[in-house]
Amino acid sequence: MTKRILWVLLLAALLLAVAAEGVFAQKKTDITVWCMAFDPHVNGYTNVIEAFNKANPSIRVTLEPQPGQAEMTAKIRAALAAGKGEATGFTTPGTTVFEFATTDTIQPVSPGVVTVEQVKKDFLPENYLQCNKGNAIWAIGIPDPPGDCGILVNLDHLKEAGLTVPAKFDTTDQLLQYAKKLAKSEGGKLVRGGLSFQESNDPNYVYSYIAEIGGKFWDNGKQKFTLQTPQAKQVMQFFSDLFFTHKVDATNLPDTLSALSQNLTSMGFMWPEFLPFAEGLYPELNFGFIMKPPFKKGNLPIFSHTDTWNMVVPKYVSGAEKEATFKFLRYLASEEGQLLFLDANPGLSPLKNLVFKSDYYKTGKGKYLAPVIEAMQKGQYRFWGPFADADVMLYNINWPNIDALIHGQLTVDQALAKMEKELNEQDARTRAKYPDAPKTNIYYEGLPANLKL
Amino acid sequence: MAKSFLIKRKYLFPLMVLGPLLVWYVLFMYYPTVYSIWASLHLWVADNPAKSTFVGLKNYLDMFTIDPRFKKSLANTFIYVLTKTALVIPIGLVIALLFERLRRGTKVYILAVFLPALCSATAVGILFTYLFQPSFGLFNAVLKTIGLPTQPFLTDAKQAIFCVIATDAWQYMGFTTLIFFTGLMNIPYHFVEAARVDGARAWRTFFSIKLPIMGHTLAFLVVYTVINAFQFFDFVFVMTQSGGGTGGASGGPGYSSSVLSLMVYNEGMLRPNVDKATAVATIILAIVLILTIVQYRILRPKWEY
Repeated sequence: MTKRILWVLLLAALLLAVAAEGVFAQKKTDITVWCMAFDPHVNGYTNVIEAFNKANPSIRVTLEPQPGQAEMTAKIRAALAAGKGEATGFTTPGTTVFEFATTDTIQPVSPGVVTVEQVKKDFLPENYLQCNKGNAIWAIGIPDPPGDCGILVNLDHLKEAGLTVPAKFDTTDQLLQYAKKLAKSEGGKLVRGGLSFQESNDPNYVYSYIAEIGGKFWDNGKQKFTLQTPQAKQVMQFFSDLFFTHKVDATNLPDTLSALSQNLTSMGFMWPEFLPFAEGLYPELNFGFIMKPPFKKGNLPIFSHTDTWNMVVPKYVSGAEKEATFKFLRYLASEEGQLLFLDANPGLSPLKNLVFKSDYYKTGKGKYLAPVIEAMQKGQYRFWGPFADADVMLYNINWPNIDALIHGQLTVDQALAKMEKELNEQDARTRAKYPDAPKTNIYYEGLPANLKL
Repeated sequence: MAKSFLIKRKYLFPLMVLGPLLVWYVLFMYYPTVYSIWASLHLWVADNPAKSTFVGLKNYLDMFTIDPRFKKSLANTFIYVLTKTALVIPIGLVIALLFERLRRGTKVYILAVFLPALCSATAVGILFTYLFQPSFGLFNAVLKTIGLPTQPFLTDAKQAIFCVIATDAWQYMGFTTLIFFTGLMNIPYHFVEAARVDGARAWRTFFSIKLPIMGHTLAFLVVYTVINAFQFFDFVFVMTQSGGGTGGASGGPGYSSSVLSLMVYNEGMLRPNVDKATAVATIILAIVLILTIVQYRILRPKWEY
């Protein structure tokens, strides 16, 4: 009898527990974030999301990594066109933020997450400049270094060749001397490159070098590309000479990313986040970062951060989901959130305070970016854009024509003429497609006064 | 009443069987095709189609007058189709004829030739990319061994497209061989025997008996190969990637090996140029349709047995 009563009591207790769970448990708001299946991004987000979920029991953020950059962007465009989707936040490259804002498919994150004034004051300038539509902020940046600020080097190769590892190259001659010492040939053919220039992001180096020596690749007044200039020719000749004169790179070698990871080049014009990426994927290889030299001796090298990475919110997100997504973005934009991301992805935080004051960039993982930060403070930082079809311009026009140049299909003059013609045609087409797109104004001489670092 | 019931029953079964298929075709074939043609007549805003502007045939005119990629891709596609067809049809037929003469082990040989056709095109593409690698690839090692000059292969704007065609032909050959061999096996033996008794030599038997009887097989293979080559994508995509990690595209060096189907992918999937992509897709559809009709008219056997 007692046994039976005990069983009944136990059952009643269980039922009560289940009922209590149902009554008192808070209903969670689920939000989903898409990011590229790129380890530094995935790990960075994972850090931030774990901390956020812990501090916000009423919200559950789920990360869904997507395949390569192009595939992920195609999926984002499909979701935006459909006007609905699983994801409440997308991670997207800066080259598409302007496009999405212009097509009215993402919503501004100001003033809900940050105010425009706050971004101008506390964030690096590209966070405002990358989309000038409607004097609003359209995205919150994740840590990411400027894509054309330096050279990735295989430290073991430099050591083998008895070369020191400077924080920055002082001149292009010094860079070429290194490249020539490091290049290896067999039977007249290059078997290991000294300095690779075969990455589709490399046109950013071309733009920055043109601007450094006083050239203008975009005419703000005429709103046209101008690439048939003496400065552009000089810069393109330099890159062409790597293949045909100095022979420190060759097209029989793979692209820069593959060449670096397969030990087939010692140095490469490569985005700096290759460092954390390679650390995880190729632990046996030992890479380092050296700041690029100025194009002209005595100048300071300038560089841009046009290739940012950001989180944007699609227009279809509303109600509780929007509130939760904005809350998550506020955390992502905070120093705490950024430091958690930086732990897995040592790029440049969008927050000025962290970049210029934090120990992270002085003694921590971000130390390798110290020369870049120093250069930024000296006024060498720019933003090349925004262009609504920046992706098409970079990957469909600039890179294929440079690729044709380094394969000997085009001369420097032909490549620049083709690029100029195709870029202007593309821009005209884009302007016809997006008649509301604001004009592009490039600040060649330095950042506007209200965005100075 | 009874008659109406019978009529209903008569149509019910075909309707039940064909209905789902029809729905499938309308939803996933005809509707997207019409929608795609409609998109090609606009300046299409990929992220927000409601903001698209109707421009009539402008995208098509731009393609032929402005876009250098289209002209190159169109030329490459025709080179691809003609070279591949010219390679795989005669060689497949010759191999099938050789197999027909074998007394034993035919199945093993057929399997050996057909095996590549079973492999994933992506895997084969990656494998051949390594074989064609100019510095450490097998093909250049062989050329070096026999004293011939090494070649840049995929890194050369003139050679790249032919390296891709050669890889495709290598994989596709097994399919044409198998179909030709099956056709040869189905030729009634007494036809060949009668020709032999009449004193016809092998070549005469082939041209006067076997080839005409295999007219349908030949027509099918030519039409199928041409359509297949027009739509072909995998090998070009895998073997001609340039620009590495961030957003590089296939069809390199430059866009020297780009073909129409790759252009559809690059413009419509990788970039937001859905209007251009759909215009190219419509052009492919029109070319394939015209070529199929013409080929069937030319290759249709004039007699049945």
